[in-house]
Amino acid sequence: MKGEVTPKVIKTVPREKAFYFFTSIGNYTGNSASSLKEFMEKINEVNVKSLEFHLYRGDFEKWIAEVLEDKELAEEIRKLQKFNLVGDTLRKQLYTIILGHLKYLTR
Amino acid sequence: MTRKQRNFYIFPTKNNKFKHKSLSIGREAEITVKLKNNTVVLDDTDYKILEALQEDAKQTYMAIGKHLGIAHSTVYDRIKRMEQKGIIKKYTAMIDAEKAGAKNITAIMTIYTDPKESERVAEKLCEAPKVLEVYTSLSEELQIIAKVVAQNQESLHDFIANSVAPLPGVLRIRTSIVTKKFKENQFLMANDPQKLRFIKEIHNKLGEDKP
Repeated sequence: MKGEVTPKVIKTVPREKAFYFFTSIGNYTGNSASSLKEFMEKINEVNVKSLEFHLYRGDFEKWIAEVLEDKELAEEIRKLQKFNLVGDTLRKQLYTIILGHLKYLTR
Repeated sequence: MTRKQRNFYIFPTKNNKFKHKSLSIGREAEITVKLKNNTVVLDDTDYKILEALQEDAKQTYMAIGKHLGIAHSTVYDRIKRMEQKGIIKKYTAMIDAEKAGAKNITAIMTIYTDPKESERVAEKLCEAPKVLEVYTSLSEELQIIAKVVAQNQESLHDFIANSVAPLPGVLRIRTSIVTKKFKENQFLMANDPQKLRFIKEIHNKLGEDKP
């Protein structure tokens, strides 16, 4: 596995398959991500309300599993729901999980 | 307004865009309405017929003629002409969706766009069956305002997330879900202040007492 990358994770998806960050039903922030790397960067930028909104609806895990086809990361993010995290604690946890996963994939 | 009253629409529109370029008073009490690639001349009788149809599109030519004091053949001819010219777009029924059992929700979307892409975004929205009305507005930023219906909040969100947010030029979206409807009506010729002012001026010109 060393040196190998998972193409679905590294590749950039077309805009219609990108992740669009909302703060509530129908309220789009203007931030989107077309790759896992971009997704991680946006985690640090978007309104934390958007992270809370999507995490507890299961949107993150769904996009990661269905579009990026990374079941492992999707499962890690799904587990995060159990801790009822909010605010910057949630932001940090999400960022750490994705960063760690990216490092694992590109090690 | 009755629950299932027939309703009709005026002025042809393509993707909700129409050019209503001039509304001028002529010597023969006519209003020239210039539509895109078309010119139609309406007089006071035409407007009265339009008003009558907006009140109740099911009434007969005879009833309209009697009400306006003109022959039913005149009413027929003028209605046919306005249909052919596209001034009368269609005859339809206004249905109270709630009473008819529909459980839809209505929302108003305000879409902030890149000015270069706004026209294309508006046109794309017009293609979506869920979108009922589309307008552009210039305040501090160029906005598109759209009325949308969906089965529920989840379906509304899916539509906006999958079909609106990805459109090139969409900068951000604000959506308000309608919780209670206090009034919903179409534009009535009788309520057009410009038209009423026109009629008043015509009557003044003719030296009549009543506008």
